[in-house]
Amino acid sequence: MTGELWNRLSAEAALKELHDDVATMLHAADMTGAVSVRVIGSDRLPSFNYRAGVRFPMASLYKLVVMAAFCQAVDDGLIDPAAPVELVPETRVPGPTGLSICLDPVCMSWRDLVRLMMTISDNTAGNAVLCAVGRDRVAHTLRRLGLLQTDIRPYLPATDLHTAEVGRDAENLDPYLLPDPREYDPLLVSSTTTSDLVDLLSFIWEDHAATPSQCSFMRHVLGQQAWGHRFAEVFTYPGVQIAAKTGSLAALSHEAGVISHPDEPPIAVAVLTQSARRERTIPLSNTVVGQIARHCVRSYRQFL
Amino acid sequence: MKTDRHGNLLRWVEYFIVVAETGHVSRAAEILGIAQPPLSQTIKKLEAAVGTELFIRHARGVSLSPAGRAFLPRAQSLLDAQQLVMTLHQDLEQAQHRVNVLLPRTLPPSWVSAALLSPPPDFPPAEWAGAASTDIVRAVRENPATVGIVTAPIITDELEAWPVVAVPQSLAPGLAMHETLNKAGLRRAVGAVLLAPPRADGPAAFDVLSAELESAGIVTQLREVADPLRIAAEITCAAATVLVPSGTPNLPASPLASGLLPLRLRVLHHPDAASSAIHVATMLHECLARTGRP
Repeated sequence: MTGELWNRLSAEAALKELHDDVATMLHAADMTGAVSVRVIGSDRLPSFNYRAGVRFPMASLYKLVVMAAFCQAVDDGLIDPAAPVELVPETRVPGPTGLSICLDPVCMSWRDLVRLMMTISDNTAGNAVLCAVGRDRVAHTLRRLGLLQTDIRPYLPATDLHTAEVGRDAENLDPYLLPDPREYDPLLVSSTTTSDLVDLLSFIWEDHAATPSQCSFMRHVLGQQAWGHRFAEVFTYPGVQIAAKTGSLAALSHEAGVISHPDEPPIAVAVLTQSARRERTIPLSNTVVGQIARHCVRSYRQFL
Repeated sequence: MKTDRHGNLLRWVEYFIVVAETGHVSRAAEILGIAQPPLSQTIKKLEAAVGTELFIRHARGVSLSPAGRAFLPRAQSLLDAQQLVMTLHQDLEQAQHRVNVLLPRTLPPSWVSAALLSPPPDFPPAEWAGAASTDIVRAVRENPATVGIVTAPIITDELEAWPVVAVPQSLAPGLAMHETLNKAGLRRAVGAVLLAPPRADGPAAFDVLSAELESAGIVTQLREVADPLRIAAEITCAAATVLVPSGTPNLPASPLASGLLPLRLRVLHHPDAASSAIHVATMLHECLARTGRP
């Protein structure tokens, strides 16, 4: 949508058009999804919501909630963020990055574990922080922030989505002939909505999710994410800043974050998607998540 | 004519027709199970209503006047219309049970006939048509009386999706040796252009085919074609190849090795589908399962 077109349209009509555009982008890639966009600190523009109340399995986006719960626990004096913690190999959780692929004992502070959990989506770090904070406090954080469409459920090993239930010869089976794995059922695993995600991001950016210093820590850590795909692939132009967290599990490709431009209010964007495909890596899904975010942010900027 | 005088018009017309058919008021009264005087009275009321005499009275009975002969087809139309109105519920029920069956438009019709409809399954009345898989998903979502077979993978959301069936495929035109093609054989046989259903028909299925070709080391250009005539022309005249379900009649083709580039199909129906549509979906899945490995 061009800026000229936005000038001719009311915000309402523009949002309607954005809704259709998002549906078309998902449809063209055989994906289902949900999107929410909100200009933080501005009531002038309405939020954009596309299936914003539909729950999706959140994959690693659960770490965003765990980080908020961790920061509240720090605020309440329950955890010393600089205290060292030793992680022995027996506590390793499967995952493609960070401590999950290390063989030897590791010692680092809680806040650096949070950093690994958020910047490279380290599953072992995520599990350690979740265990330290406790599921009850995570639930307490969700209630306190009013994120009622989000549930953090016990960790489910996801070493191999399509072979776990069908035996050792399953590697040779056609993944499309197997029933949907339970990791895709939002009632069985941690799940959320895009509406809750932009709420959480707004709370972090407006210093409501914890004390200002802990919110600042969260914004800083979110800005250190290492990946170059999805949001990072499209917001590459001069001046733009991304602070975000991905969530990935085979067909699930998510990202939630805040896009900032100089002298403009930041824009929170949450994109949750599920592809019909079942490969372990689906580059097209990454591209679509990025393109949707880019299209939404560009559209909103026409009104700022 | 005042409408309040015609409250019993349908009954009057029915009596008129019986009198006209019998030619006797007394015999007509007997058939209708009423006494003769009220029947005569009714005919007079009808004649007053239409403004002319409909019968010529004789000593031995009655016959239609010229006006009565003209009135007869109109009277019949009125009763037919009454019949239509009264059977509305029945017609609606029939329409509800009528099922639309949509299949991917790129399936060879001869394979559909041979593999899915032979022997003919015990289907309720159904309308068959071809469409793009993405349109089939939309049609099933919008109409609980529609049942579809679609290429997989495809997003089905809330629809009831039956297990995917992998239908073995063959490469056409076939090699003279009719050998089974493994990956290496397919690399040599596929040629420069492989015809495939348009990506818009099923984006994920198309992308998975591309990825599986890459995975198998098969180098070819995918050309998107939906029209069966164009497919026939291109494989005959332009040296293109195409994957077809194994067992497609009258098409020489070399079978692919087990599990190599199968055609994945699945049956869909609406979550609120009537029992007739679910029955059709069940039958379709059973037919499909016979052709491949579920």
